[in-house]
Amino acid sequence: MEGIRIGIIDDSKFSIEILKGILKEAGYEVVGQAETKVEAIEMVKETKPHIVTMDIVIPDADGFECTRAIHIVDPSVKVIMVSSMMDDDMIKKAKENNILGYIQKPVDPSVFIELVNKIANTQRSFEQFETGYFNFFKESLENNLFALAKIKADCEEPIIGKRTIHSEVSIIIGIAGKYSGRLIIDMSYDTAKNLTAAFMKKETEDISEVFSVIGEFANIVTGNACSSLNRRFGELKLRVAPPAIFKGKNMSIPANQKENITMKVATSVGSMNLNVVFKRGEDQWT
Amino acid sequence: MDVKYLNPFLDAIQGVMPQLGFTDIKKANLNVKDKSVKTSGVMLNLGIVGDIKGNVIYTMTFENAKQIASKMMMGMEVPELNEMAQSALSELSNMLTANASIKFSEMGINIDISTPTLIYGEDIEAKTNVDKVICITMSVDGIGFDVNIAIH
Repeated sequence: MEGIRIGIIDDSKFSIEILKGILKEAGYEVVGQAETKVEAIEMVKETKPHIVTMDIVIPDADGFECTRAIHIVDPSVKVIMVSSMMDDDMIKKAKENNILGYIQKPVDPSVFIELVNKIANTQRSFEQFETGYFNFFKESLENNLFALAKIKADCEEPIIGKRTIHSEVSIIIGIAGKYSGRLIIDMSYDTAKNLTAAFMKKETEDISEVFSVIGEFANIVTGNACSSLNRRFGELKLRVAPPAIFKGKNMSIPANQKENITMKVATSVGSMNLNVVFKRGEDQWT
Repeated sequence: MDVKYLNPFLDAIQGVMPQLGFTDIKKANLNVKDKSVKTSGVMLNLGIVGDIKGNVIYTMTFENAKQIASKMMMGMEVPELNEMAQSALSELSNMLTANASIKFSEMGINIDISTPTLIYGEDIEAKTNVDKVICITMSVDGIGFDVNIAIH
């Protein structure tokens, strides 16, 4: 399948050639291969595969340990275990280690390709989602600021990339469903207080009231955006976790994902940032 | 919150930690906090949706965070909480919570989890929307960390 990059991790050159042949015949691009954990980490860093196949025994690690090492480098790589050994205990361990599928050697090409196709297809539909989702959050933020307190939001151009959030107050909302992600709205404590006063039409010094109001605000923004996304894309089943509000004087929140999207928003009550990220693809056992 | 919600997390820790090379896994303490969770160090927050809803917040000191990250990276030295160490801790929190969700489904409770968010700093405080947060203090090879469960 065009555009889907695959890496092969196996200590046998023979197995690598067989898997490569099957994948190429099905139109996949094999971007890298590795025979050890150390090579696998390098391969993932350099070639950025969407999917890797993983042998259970490699010289410097087992396939589960190698999977964890790869997920530290890039948590969104989809791992398929390809091993001569397969039993309930191995499958359980595979699931525990965030491996998405299991194929026994000798590999039946049609079964293998069917599994790879399934994972590749969800990757494809994610890419469509990824190019469009942020606008739903932006609109929801703008609409709710206006609907709840007649506040006009002056939004800067969203920026995609890693960033470390330094703020006094951050509201974190987890999102789960077909894709998992999270939203963070960060602001100064003064902005949080002003925003609360604007929503409640009265000043308050009560910290817990401020947190409860801005938490509910972020919850509404996220909930409305996810409902619109569910209607637009169908089958997403996105659901929103309750808000968790973090505060601290020297607090840092590293958003290390290169897919993280940040937008600065200026308002009459102070400025805030909207940060959203979704993990690439699905983590469903296939 | 129902105490039966604790077992999936305890089981997940018992199941996952040995795979990472920890041998001595102990539940050191269990207590109930009011709404807020405080720490100087590292927090990892994951949202839970489905039949039950809430947040799980893992907390640890900087020193213990570095030691756990080092173990995750097969003993590699972790002099500071760099991006690699942050990623290792995020992956650990993801594995533990994903495994707890498998245990929940075995109890007939279906949940999905969000991606983890890592937060660090001095005197940070997290507030959730539940009245009581249950905190399990774990010790893995003598390294302590807390699992704060705020679900309902």
